[in-house]
Amino acid sequence: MRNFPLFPDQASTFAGQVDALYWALVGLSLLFGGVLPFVILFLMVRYHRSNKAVDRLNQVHSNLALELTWSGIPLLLVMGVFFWGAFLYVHIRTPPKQTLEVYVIGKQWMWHAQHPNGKRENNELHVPINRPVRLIMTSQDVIHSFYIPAFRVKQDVLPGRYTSLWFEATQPGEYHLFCAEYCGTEHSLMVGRVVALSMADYERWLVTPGEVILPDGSSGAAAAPPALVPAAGDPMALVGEQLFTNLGCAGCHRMDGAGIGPSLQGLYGSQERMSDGAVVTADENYLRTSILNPGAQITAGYQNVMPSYANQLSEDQINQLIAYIKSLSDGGTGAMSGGASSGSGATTSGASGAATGGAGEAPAFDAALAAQGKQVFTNLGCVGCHRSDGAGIGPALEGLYNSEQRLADGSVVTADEAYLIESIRNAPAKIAEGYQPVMPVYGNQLSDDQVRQLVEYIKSLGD
Amino acid sequence: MAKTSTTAGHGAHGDGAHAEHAAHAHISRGTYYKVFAALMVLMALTVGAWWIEGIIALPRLLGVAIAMAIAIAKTTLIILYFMHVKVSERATQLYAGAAFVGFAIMVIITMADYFARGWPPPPGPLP
Amino acid sequence: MATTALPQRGYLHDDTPHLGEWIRSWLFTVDHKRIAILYLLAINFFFLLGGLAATFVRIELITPQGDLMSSDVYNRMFTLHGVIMIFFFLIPAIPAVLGNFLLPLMLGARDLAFPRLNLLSWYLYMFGGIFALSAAVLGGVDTGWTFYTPFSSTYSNSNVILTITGAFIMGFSSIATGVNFIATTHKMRAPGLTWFRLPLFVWAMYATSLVIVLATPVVGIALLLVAIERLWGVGIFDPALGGDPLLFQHLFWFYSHPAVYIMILPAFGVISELISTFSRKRIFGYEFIAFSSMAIAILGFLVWGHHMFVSSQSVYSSLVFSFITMLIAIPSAIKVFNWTATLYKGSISYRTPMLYALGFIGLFVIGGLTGIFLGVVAIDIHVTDTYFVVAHFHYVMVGGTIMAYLGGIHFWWPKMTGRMYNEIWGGISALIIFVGFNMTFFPQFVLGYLGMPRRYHVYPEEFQILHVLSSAGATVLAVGFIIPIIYLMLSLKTGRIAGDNPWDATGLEWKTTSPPPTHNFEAIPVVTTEAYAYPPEAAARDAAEWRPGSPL
Repeated sequence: MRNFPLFPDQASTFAGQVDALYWALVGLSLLFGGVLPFVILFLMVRYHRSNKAVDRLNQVHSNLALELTWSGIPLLLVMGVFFWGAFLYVHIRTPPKQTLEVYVIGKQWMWHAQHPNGKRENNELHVPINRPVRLIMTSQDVIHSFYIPAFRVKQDVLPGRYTSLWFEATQPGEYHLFCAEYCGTEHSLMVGRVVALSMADYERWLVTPGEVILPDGSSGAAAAPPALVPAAGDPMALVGEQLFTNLGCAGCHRMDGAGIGPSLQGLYGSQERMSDGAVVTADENYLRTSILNPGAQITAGYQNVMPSYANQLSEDQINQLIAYIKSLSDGGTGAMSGGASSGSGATTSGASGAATGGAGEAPAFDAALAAQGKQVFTNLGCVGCHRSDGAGIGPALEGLYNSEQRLADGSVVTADEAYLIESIRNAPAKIAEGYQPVMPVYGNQLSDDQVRQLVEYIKSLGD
Repeated sequence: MAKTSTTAGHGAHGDGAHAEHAAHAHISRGTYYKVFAALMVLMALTVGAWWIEGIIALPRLLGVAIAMAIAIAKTTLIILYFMHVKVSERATQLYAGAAFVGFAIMVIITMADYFARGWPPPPGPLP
Repeated sequence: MATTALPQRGYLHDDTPHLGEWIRSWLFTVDHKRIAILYLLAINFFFLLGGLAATFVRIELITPQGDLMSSDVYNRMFTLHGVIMIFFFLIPAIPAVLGNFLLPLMLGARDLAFPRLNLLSWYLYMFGGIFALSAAVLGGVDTGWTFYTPFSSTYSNSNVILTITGAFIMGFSSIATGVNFIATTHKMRAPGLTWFRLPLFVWAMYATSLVIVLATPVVGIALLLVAIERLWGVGIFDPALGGDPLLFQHLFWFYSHPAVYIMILPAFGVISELISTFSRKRIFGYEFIAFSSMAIAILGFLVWGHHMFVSSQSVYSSLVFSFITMLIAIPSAIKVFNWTATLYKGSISYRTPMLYALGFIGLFVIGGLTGIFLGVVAIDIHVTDTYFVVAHFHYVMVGGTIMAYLGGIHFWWPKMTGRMYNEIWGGISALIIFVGFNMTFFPQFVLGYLGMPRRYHVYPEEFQILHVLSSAGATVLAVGFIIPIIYLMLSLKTGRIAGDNPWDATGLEWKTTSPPPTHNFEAIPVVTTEAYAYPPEAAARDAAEWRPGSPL
């Protein structure tokens, strides 16, 4: 007889909590559902008509005290259970501030995930353990549901909007991934696996170029629409930036605020006033509506002239544009012209590395080398961990150069060129405080030229 | 609810329920005409409201509120007079009202769901 | 109580020598008792059809691969099972069969308030059933009985509109029955029959009718909107056309949750009757049971969002729905405790209807408790859309409603037909059903918590053993359901003549002949006692008179 499981694995921080509540309810159920049948059986036997010895006189047909007792006690119990479950539920639905975000697209009948550094996977999800991960999901057609039993999480994935789900995996391993909302013919086959890896393994996986598979199942560069997306494995924000340019968005949405459309600098997450007086939060759903149905919400002070891009963009491309727009809201950690919504001194958004006028404190750096360094930074996948919003596995590099860095061992060093070079070539030597020693060692894999370029690029990110 | 109903005189086939008509009063023909006239006036108001909305720029909420108010007035008149609810027994009136209560529950809770999509506010602002 | 012959002028008897006249006397009848029999035959036909679909589903699930049927056929099979069982069996079963037959009798009336409307409701049921059947014959529908959009409104390639039309028409049948029952209960009670002297079955039918008339129109409209979107591309639920998929779910579940109370409240009513009769004493806590039926009917309108906890419904709404769901458990618990208390100091007999009633209590308690699991959102996130939910609703619908339906059929069989069924086979099949049912559905709780999703026919291998256990139980259950059909039909010819009141029960229906005459009573009874007016020493006397060899 093969081994068969009777209880699922506990592989996330939620699993233990949900299971505790579950077992408590099982206990209460055994109490009521176990005791009650015995009472009934007892009464059935004792008062069977063949048993003449029992007293059947002086019958009672109502008793208010009894009714109130057996209404009140269950009421208290279910209220207790409700509050326990309610707190746990709000916890499950409130992701922490710092999460690793993965974009997921569900379609009939497969799952597609893309990590922010560009790595894509189909019907699989690789996640690190001990790190909150947030999935931002949408569907291309009908309602699906992303379900990982071992993590005790499930969230319906709807067309036309984003839903999100977060978890923190605790055990490395492979777990089932199911689609849990009936979606058509091959609903049963819309399954996959979630692979939880240690942080180091996850990083290694993240930067390994795999076969690039696009959401429609086709692979790599041959997939449409190639004209807009030169390298499908590139980081999402980078591809989004290219889309932004190629589709002509940059023509109206000038970052200095002088365009026909509003600047998108610092837009994501801010409160926006609309032309009808309403104030909305510029979240993923807002950005999506603005791209696909711009007339629905016009920012105050602007005209309703933006064309709709519905039917011109795939879900994938919308995700990339959104990732790019999010990257324009750096959260202020050393962003070039700090808080940029005033419009002066536009922060470079990836065009050239030259310092713009006005940010007089920018260190001198070689623009040409910095541009090349940016390419290296991207191609090697550094951008996957060193996110500029500070939510990455590695620290943001904006404003790093020449700043005082506190290290994990408590000492404080100046992040000069020597420090940068050492961090690239031999990362474990000095780990920034609050971060894990997981950065790979690039030792002799890089030429001196490349290291030089990287250093210039990091300098270009300001101090 | 403990009152007994009037004893039903049962005919041979149970058509006796129709004998209850003696219980409620009648709506006069004059009232019917007046209600009809009121409905025509309300119809004119609806058309007028649409025409005015084409000329002056009303805030959307106000336009919808006006149109709904007129529609509710029409519906109420029809239900009370043409459908005899005004002169019906209390139980019948209760059932007519219950339908609107049920409808209100459905609309209010569904709309509450839509409006509450931003709560509790997660640190990343996805609702 | 033994009598030697059936009464001369029972409602089943007719003076129609020719076949044509005989058919017309049945198809154009306005006698509520004949309409109840028409419903009985139709409903049992649909039950067998739905059961056949379930059989195929369970056979397919014996193996982890999709080897018996293709994905498309499987999807149509479980949809057929759901649509038939819910719309054409469970919702009409007790109200249309037992309610139609018994309500006028229990009220001391000669018929329902609107007899022709009653006949119309049967024809609407048949008409709707024809649509559903033709959808099945023409290739089926694969959306699931829940018709979630945008799959059903845009993407499905099956007979969605045919099926929707069937359900829509059946809705009107249901509404007509509800209207009839409300009017009858208010207006046609016998002299002296005040509200608080009514049998609890009448209270249950009244609460059910309330839910029917207020909730059914909503699902009618929701399905109509799906059909409109499907036919003419009007953007209501499909985001690609500007609609919102969640709106359909709100509209659909606003009916479909009260619908489950339409299925269970009549069952509660039947159980009250059975427990009282077979304990030979008055029911404990009459007012509480009556009010709890009304409470369930009203609260049932406020909990529909508990079917939508993971659907991207807002956290705020989910908490509100979860809270009210917890509250609605209390009236059901009150009933169960009151029934248990009724057994105390009673004189209990183990006749077939009582076996079904006791089985109901056991299975309904499990089903109801697992409903609390599902009402706690944190757990629901893990188990919704899995076999846990499937197990829960089968416990309350099959272990609950169907057990009560069978118990009621057996209890009132002598009144409806004038004959007794075979008690030994009755007891045997009740036990087979109880055992088979638990074998089928208890493993599904385990499967659900493990993560096995619903509506899958291909599944990971490690779930196979539990599925095999479940399918084996389903075989036993099927046998348990077939046996009563056989001995009940045989009893029509060979059953012992029952007489007016074979159970020595209270209730106006037992004061007339079995089967009753077309006009129900020779003289309208006048009621002077409370409901379940067993004399205080009835239980003691029953026990004293028991001899070895008397019925258990």
